Amino acid sequence: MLKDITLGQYFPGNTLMHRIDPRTKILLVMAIIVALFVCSSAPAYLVLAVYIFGLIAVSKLSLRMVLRGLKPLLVIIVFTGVLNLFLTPGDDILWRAGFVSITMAGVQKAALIVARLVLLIAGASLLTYTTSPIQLTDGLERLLSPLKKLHLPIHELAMMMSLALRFIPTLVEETDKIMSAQRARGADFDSGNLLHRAKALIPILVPLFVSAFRRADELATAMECRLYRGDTGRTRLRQLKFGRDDAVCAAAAVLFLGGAIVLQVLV
Amino acid sequence: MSEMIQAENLTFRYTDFSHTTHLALDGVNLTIPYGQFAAILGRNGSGKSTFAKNCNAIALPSGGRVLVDGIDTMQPDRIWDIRRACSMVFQNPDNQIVATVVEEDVAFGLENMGVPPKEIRRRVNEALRMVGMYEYCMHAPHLLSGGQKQRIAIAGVLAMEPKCIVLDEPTAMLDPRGRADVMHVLHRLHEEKGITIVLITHHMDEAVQAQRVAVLEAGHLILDGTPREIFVQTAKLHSLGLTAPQSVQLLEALNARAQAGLETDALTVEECADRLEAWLKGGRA
Ligand SMILES: Nc1ncnc2c1ncn2[C@@H]1O[C@H](COP(=O)(O)OP(=O)(O)OP(=O)(O)O)[C@@H](O)[C@H]1O
Ligand SMILES: [Mg+2]
Repeated sequence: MLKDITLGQYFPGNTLMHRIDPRTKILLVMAIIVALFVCSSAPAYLVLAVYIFGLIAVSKLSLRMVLRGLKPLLVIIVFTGVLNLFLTPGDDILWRAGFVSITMAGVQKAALIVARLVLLIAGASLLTYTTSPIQLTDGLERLLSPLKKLHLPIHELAMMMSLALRFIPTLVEETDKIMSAQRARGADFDSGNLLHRAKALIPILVPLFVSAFRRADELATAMECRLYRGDTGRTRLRQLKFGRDDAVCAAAAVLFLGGAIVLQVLV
Repeated sequence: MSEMIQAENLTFRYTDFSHTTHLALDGVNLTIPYGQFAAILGRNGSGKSTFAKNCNAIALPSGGRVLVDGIDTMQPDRIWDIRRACSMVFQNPDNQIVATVVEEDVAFGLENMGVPPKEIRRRVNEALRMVGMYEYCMHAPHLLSGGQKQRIAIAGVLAMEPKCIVLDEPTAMLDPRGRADVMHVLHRLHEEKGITIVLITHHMDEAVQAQRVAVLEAGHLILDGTPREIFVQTAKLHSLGLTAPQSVQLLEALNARAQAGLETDALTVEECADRLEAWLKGGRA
C-alpha cells in the first residue's frame, strides 16, 4: 500500500530537458509560473499552452502521466472553476436559474483559472519528472549559494534534503514491516472513527521514530568515516555546467514566454 | 617501522546517562601489521565493535593508546589522516549509503576529500569494477539486494584508497549468497591491492579464511594466532561462546568414538575430506 508513494517522481531519460542544467530548469519553471500569473488573455494562454505541452513532448513524457499528476488536485480545480463560473457578476447573462446565473465574464474567468492551474501543474511536473532528486538539490544549492555569504546554512539544507529523499524508501519499507508486525499481533488500522485510527498509529510511530534515530546516529558515524565535514573543500562528481543545450532552452523560453507577455500587453 | 594498527594497553569505558561506567575494553594489546587479513571474534558484548571504533578515532581510548599507520588517534589535528588510512564498513548497509544513485554514493568520500571531478570519476569506476558492481552504477541503491548494497558500501571506502578497511560484521544481515560475494571481494582487495583487512564476524567459516584470528572476551584479548592454532581448541572456544568449524568437530567426534587418532586441524570441508580419505584407506589396508 505504502509502496505507491513515489516522491519527486523522476523518469530517467536522455532528452534535451533531461540533459540541461538543473539550475536552468528551476529558473525556467519559475519563469513559466510568473508568465502564467502575468498573462490572462486567450491568445497569450494559447502561446503558453503550446510552449508547455511542446516541452512535455520534447521530454518524451507521456501526456497521460502528466495528466495523472493533476488527479490529486482535481477537486480544487473543479471547485474553483465552478465557483468562478457561477459567482462572477456581470451584465452579459447567458443563463439564469433563481439566484444563480452564468455570465460571459464568469465563463471567461472559470476557463482562465482552470487553464492556469492545469498549466501550472504541468509546468512544475516537467521539473520533477526530468530531474533526479540529487540534481534538484544540487541545482538549488548552487542557485542559493550566494546566500552562504549571509551565513545561511545552504549546503546543510541541501544535504538534509537529499538525505531525506534517500531515506524515504527505506523508512516506507520499515513502516510497512512494522504495520505487518502489529497486524500480526491483532492491531487494526482500517476501522473505527478518526480518533480510533489515530490512536492505532501510535504503536507504529514509536518504533519508527526509535529506529529512525538509531539510523541517523549510524549514518552520521558512517559519514564521518567517509570524511564528511560539511562544505569545506568539497568537490563534486558531476560539475554543473551551462552548455549549448541550456542556451537553446533559454532562447526558446525568451521567445515563447516573452511572446506571450507581449501578446498580453498589446492585445 | 610502524604497524597498520597498534593498540597498546587499550582501555575503553562507556559512560551512560546515570554516570555508571562500563569497561568495554580492558588492557588490549593487539598489533595488526600492514597487509594482514585478520578476523576478530568474540561473543555478543565482548568489545569487538568498540575495538573497531577505536581503530579510526570514532572512539578515543580511555587509557593506553592506538597508533593507526603510525599516528596516535589522540591527535585531533590528524583525525582526517587517520580516517583516510583506515576506513570502516558497518553491519547495516542501509545506514551507510548516503545517495540515491550508486555512483554518487561511491563518490561521496572522494567529494569530501576534495578530489578533482575527473579523478573522482576514474576512482569510482575502478572501485565499482573491483567489487563487481560496475553495471549497477546508475541504479538506485535501495532496489539492490543486501549483498549488493554492502559491496557498494565497500566500493565507497575503497575509492578513498585506504591502507586498511575495518569491517564490523559486514555479512550479518546477508543471505549465504551475499555473504560469499562480500567475502570474495574482501579476498580480492587483500590480494590484488594489498589492503589490510580487519574482519569482525560471528561466522567461523569466514574467520578460517583469515591469516590471523583474535578472540575478545569481556574486553580482554583471550586468544590470538593463526586459524589453525585457534580452531583446534574446541573446549576453549566453547567456553568463549564460539563454536569450532564443523569439520574440526567431526574429526574430534570420530577420535572420541572410534579412537581414530586423527589430526583435528581440518578447517575446511576439503581438508576434512582428505583426512577421512587417508584414514579410510589406511583402515582398509
Ligand atoms: N553506547 C554504549 N553505552 C554504554 N555501553 C555500551 C555502549 N556500546 C556498547 N556498550 C557496552 O560495551 C560492551 C562492548 O560492546 P560492543 O558493542 O563493543 O560489543 P560487540 O563485541 O561488538 O558485540 P556484538 O557482537 O553484539 O556486536 C558491551 O557490554 C556493551 O553493553
Ligand atoms: Mg558489534
